[in-house]
Amino acid sequence: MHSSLDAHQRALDRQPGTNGPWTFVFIDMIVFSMIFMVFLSERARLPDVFAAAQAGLPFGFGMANTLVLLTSSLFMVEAVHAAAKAPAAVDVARIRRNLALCVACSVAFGINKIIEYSHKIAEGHGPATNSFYSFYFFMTGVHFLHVLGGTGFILHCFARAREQAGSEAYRRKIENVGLFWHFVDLLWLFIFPLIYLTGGHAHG
Amino acid sequence: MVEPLRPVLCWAILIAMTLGSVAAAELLNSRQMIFAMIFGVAVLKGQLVAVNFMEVGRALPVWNTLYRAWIVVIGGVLLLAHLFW
Repeated sequence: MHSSLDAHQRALDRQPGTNGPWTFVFIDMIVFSMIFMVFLSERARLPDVFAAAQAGLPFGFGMANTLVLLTSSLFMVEAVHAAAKAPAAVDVARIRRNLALCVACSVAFGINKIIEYSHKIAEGHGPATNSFYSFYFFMTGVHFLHVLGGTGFILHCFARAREQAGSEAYRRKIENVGLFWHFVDLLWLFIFPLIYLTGGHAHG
Repeated sequence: MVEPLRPVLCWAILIAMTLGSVAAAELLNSRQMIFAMIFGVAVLKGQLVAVNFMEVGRALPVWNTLYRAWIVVIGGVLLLAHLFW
């Protein structure tokens, strides 16, 4: 009994971050799965509406944001690895530099998203235009809220780095933030093809 | 267990896969091929992110299994729905 509890504790010690965020992210995965299912159901019900709307969607914005998010994930990994060093070897400047670059990517994502929304609204396409645009604004909007939330967590880690870097609590905190940020990236890896890349091919 | 790649190498592969899948979506003629390619690439990219960035291999086995399975299942459902709905 003791040995199995010890083994579980060792596994928890080895795990990046704590169990709470792993659970939260998994629940978020289930929520997005349901959104994807409703999207697919609506697409099956209104194939012509979805095909016409998706064909008019420029994938350049989506692709640029994919590249920006993947790059931000690299900076996040570098920050997490820098924070995992022993207290005597921890490089606070490296942590802060990578977190700042991560925030810069997040800002670039936000600017790109706002320009994209502005173009669509200027063309007369809002959330009420049709079923596809309802999903387009809802799905990418909820994802954008995740980006904003993640950016807030990253800024918190940035602000606390000088005083807390090197501690076990800070390492856990930045690993939890990293997990959430990579999940934001992971979600986009499916939203991007679903919204932007399948357009124009729905009917061959 | 899959050994994680170096972060920069993983990032370069992810960028190359993104650019490659967009180019292939423009060049391929068959809609089945396009859907299979873009959702297949999304699943592979998701696995790379999970293993190398999220480090699911160091998490409790239950998270490792659930996260990696979710990526495969969601990619598979999206592909099948595009092919047959």
